This record gives sequence, structure tokens and C-alpha cells, in this order.
Amino acid sequence: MLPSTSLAKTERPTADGGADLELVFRRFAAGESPALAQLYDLCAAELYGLALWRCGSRSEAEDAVQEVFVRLATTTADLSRVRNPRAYLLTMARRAACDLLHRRHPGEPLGALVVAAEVTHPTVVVDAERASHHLRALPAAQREAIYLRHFAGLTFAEIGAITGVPKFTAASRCRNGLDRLRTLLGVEL
Amino acid sequence: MSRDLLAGLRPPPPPTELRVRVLAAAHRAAPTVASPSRRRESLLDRLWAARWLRLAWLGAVLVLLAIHADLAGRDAPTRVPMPTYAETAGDGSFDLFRPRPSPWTLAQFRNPTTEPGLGL
Repeated sequence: MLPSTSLAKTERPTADGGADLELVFRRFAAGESPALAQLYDLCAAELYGLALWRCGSRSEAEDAVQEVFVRLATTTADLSRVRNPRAYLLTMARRAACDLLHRRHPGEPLGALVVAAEVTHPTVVVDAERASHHLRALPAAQREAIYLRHFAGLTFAEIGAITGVPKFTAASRCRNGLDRLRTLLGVEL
Repeated sequence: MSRDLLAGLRPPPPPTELRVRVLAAAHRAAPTVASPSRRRESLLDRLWAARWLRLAWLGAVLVLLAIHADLAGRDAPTRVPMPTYAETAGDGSFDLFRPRPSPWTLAQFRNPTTEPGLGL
């Protein structure tokens, strides 16, 4: 069973981190190419996590992150018009992951550990493996909604904007996914 | 509750070598000169970016509106009501539209259904 209270909460992006990301993104949009490396440092983990949860494969998640940054470097779009850089980048990562999923062989199984323990403790590692196992059983849409809500800390409206569904649908996906995960893990409500 | 369900867990971080790979790929793919659309600003962008240009634009619009209002009030043509038929009937204005007498009489028109010679 997953530990519930003894462990620290999942690290979430702070307001300062968001401001930094926005600042660096604006600099990159203004033509500062070196800002791309800083942009990577600020958001690669989040993009990688989303792609991993969407694809369930580490190699494809890496490809998706690479695709995002290559597209950023080559885009002809006016990036200064982007209102929410974080949501924009997450949307790009999701689309790249979806493209990779479409190209993948249909019967290929998912094998990556999509969630890891935050602290190194034997029970937590086992739980992380169990959680990863059951998370892979969830539909990809529910998995990504859970990720965006609980690890990226986005609102349902933002999740809906990123995934292209109404916010109520995003909320339903998240709730249904968590309910199913709870059932699979055998956690009492 | 749901937060507790995933507490203590986090998505695995990207591998460290991915940074080099991604940035190298982006660097290779990027054009040598920055994208013109990223560098070049349109006239609207420049207008929006500079406060004095925005004020100048607003001032020009206000001046044009004031001139329009002034001219509209000063040189407005007086409305002349359209004459009615009763007013113009006697002055011969509608003579051209009166039916003229036809050179043919009704009896001169043949009725194709009753005319014996036509065989209809």
C-alpha cells in the first residue's frame, strides 16, 4: 500500500519557477538563442514526465522532449504572442508524445516506470513499482490528466486547454483515473 | 485524498545525457540566422510597443473624429421632401407615363383558338 502521510509532498512548481520560465521564454522569443538551454533546465523534467506518462516509454519520452526543443528552435511562429509559456510547452510535449504513440507498433507493451519514489526507502520503492504497474493499466488520457493535476499542479481549465477537452471532462478523467487507481491499489476510501 | 495516494512519488527525472542530446539537436536544426518572423516586428507590433506611438495614433483618430463631426454639422444638406402625386399631377410631370392610344383595335387581334383558318 502506498504511504500516505509519512512522506513529504510531491514537489510542485512554485510561482517563482513559473515566473522564471516565463521570463526565459520571453527572452528566447525575443531572439536570444542561449535561453533555450535555460528553458530546458526549467521545464524539461515536467515535459519528460508528461511524455513518459503519455507514452509509457522512456525512449519515446526522450524523443518527445527532443522534438519539443527542435520545434522551438525552428518554429516560424511568433513566440512572443504566447500567453502561457508553460501550458504552451506542455501542449507541445503532449502533441509530440501523441505523434510518437501513433507511429508506434500497436501491440508494443509499455514498460517504463512512470512514477518513482521521492525518497529511497524499501517500502516506497515497492509501492512506486506497484503504482507504476497500475498506472500503466489506466487509459492514457486519465494518466495524463492525473499527471498534469498532481505533479504539474495545473487547474482543470489548464488541463482542458492542454489536452483539448472541456475542463469538466478533464476533471472527470482525473477523478475516474484516481478512483480506478485507488481500486487497483486496494486503498480504502 | 488523491494527493495522499500519490504522495511520496514523483515522475522519474529525465536522464542527464538527454540535455546534451536535446540541445545539440535543437542547435543543429536551428537556422543560422534567427527566424525573420521572430526578429521582424510588424507595424502593429511597433505601434503597440511604444507608448508615444499609441498616443499619436489615438490623437490622430480623435482629430479625425472631431473633423468629421464638425463637417457633418456644418455642411449637412437640407432635406427636401419628395413631392406627392397630387402636387405634381397638374404640372405635366407625369405626361410621359400616360398610356397612349393604341393604333390597333381589339377586333383586329385574332383569337387563335376560334380562328378557323389556323386549324388549332
